[in-house]
Amino acid sequence: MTELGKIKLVSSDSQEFEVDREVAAMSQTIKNLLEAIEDENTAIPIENVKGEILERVIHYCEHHYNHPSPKNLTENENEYERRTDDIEPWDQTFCNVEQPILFELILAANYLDIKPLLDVCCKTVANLIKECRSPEEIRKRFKIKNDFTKEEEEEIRKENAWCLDEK
Amino acid sequence: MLELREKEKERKIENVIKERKEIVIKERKEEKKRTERKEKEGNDKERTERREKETPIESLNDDILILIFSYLNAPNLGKCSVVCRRWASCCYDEFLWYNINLARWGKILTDVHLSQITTSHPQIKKIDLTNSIKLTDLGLVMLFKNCANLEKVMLRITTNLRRTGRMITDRSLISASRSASSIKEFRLYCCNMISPKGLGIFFEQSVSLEILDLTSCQILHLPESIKKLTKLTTLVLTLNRLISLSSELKNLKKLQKLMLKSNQLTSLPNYIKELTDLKVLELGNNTIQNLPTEIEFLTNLKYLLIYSNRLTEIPLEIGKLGNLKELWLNDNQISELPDCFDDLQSLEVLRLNKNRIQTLPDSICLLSNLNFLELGDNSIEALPGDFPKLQKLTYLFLYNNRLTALPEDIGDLSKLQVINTSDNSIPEMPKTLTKLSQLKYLLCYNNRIITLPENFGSLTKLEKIDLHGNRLRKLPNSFCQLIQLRSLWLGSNRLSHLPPNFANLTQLEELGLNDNALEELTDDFSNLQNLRMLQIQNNNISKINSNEIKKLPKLTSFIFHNNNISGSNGIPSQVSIRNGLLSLIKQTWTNIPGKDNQEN
Repeated sequence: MTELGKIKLVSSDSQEFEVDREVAAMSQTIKNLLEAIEDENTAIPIENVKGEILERVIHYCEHHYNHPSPKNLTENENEYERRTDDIEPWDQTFCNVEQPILFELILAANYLDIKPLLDVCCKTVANLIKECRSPEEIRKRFKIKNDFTKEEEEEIRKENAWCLDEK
Repeated sequence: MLELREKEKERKIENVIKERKEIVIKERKEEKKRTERKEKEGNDKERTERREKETPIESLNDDILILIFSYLNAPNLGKCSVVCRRWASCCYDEFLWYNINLARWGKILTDVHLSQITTSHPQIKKIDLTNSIKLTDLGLVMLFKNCANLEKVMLRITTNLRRTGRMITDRSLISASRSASSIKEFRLYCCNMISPKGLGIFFEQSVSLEILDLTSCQILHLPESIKKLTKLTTLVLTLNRLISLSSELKNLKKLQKLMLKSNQLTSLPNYIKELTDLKVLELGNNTIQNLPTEIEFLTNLKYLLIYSNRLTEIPLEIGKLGNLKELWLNDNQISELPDCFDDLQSLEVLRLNKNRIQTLPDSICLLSNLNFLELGDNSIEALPGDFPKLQKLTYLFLYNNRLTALPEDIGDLSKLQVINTSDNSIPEMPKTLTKLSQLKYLLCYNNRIITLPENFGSLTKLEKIDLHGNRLRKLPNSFCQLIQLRSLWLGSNRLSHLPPNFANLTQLEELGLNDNALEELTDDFSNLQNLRMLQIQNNNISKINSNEIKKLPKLTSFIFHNNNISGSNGIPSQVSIRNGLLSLIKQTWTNIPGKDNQEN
């Protein structure tokens, strides 16, 4: 039996988590599921998310359920460029994790449809990219293999020469 | 009974099973935790490497990559597209290139850069090229040629770079005209090589244009084809060389903002009446001598700014602009105001300083929403009797006039926060002044004030008082209640002593007591711990307790020459050794004229 107002989530590696119904409903995916099933006590399998990540996601949802952030008024201030310097301190700490965890959080947020979590993680990755001065630095930081042929790379470098001159 | 017992047995057994189950679950959980802990304790590096194999950045799908890229600006996107094939294809996603901000890139952006960008990304709709001073026709022609869906083009230049002209000519405008039908906002700054002819060609095609900004483009006159801009809501022609306006302007029926500051206009044409949607009309810094009476038709006007012109009078019709919020008529040659303010019930800001006004019309007292009234630098001799009816008045400037008194019931203006009545001939402060509980700034220097009301100290919100150049002999005892006071200037009065408990004013940062008849400073002077500036020159002070002065940690400027301090015993040389007090002390001590030392 789960407590009143609580539901049970089961991660892909069979870890169980008891969460407030309202907190879990911050995930649009779970919210939809909850509306579909009638029995309050059914454990909801979250097949694509491992326990370790699910735990973090729940932590995020609980914090933001208890500390709702004021609506962002600066959103459309500059229609040319979306801001990445407006991440709340709590979220900054939350996102300050190894890359694989960050990517798994993104995948989980995407699967569970938790938009603010997805946004904040993507902003964090964008900031990691912004810190790199060159494509080489980006490749190194994210361990990406350069799969261009010589000709292709030459071509794309030419097209983007305007931003590669920077010293 | 038997049944019951059996049932009870069953229940017990059930419970036992349940308990065992729970124990098993608990054990399992603990085991899991243990293995987790072990994992955590395991070699971090190994773990990271393993993880990276599990979840590299490649595991994010294209939609997520594009979402990440949507937080990057154009130069970062450019870099990302050179990383690998997949990133390249995501970076070229159409959606990412609708709005491009190259403002931070401005100063180094060249024509080649711009043509590369626009060739690779023709889908650009809005582009910000602020401060791109290196850009010439070559780059702009490519922009207009490549990007057929442009809606917004920003070529602004921020103030510090405005002196630089730009190598942008009619050629750009002509190429813009070919793809102009989609452009809604076009801001050109400092393009001093474009001509009315080029503008004319551009206007012919700019049927969608809503905002046009041509700041500082050396424009002499407006081409006739401006009449084609029927969707225009904002027209900025600040800092040009316009002598007159084109009568075709009257076709811009949707115009809400017309900015004509700093041109050479001598009059405002009467066809202005056709622009009935106008909300903002900025005409500052021209040479306009009179306003047409037709101005009365601009009933939607909220901001009418005609400062720094040559107006000698104001038409009565201005009183019909019932929506007016701000009226700036400062720095003109107006000697008389029409008595027409009855209906300006929305007016919040009225600036009439630097004119030749002698009397104020009575109806000015009916401006029930007036918050800011600037009447300085005129020749006003008296305020109208109903002046205290301006219930919303917060800022009142009356400096440099010929006032011999303030209204007796000035205390009724309960919202007042700032009063400046300096440089008049006022002999006393009305008693009701002390009712102004919101007052923060009281500037009344260079008048003839002899005393302050006894309960002056009830103005506890006061932060700055400047009463220098009056005839004050003493300060009321209540003065020490002004504990918010940060700046106090009482120089050039006739004070012989400070009021009791003066050192209660611990927020004081600036204190000027120069040119009085003071014989001593209070003993507990060192309570004024926030004091940065202290001037006591030209008094009769015979003793300064240097220990007290030394205890003021923030003091950087101290001027005290021309006092009656006997010999060199008064101030020991130690004072000047202390680094905080500067060597200034030593200098001023040896009788150096005050003025040169007044800067910190």
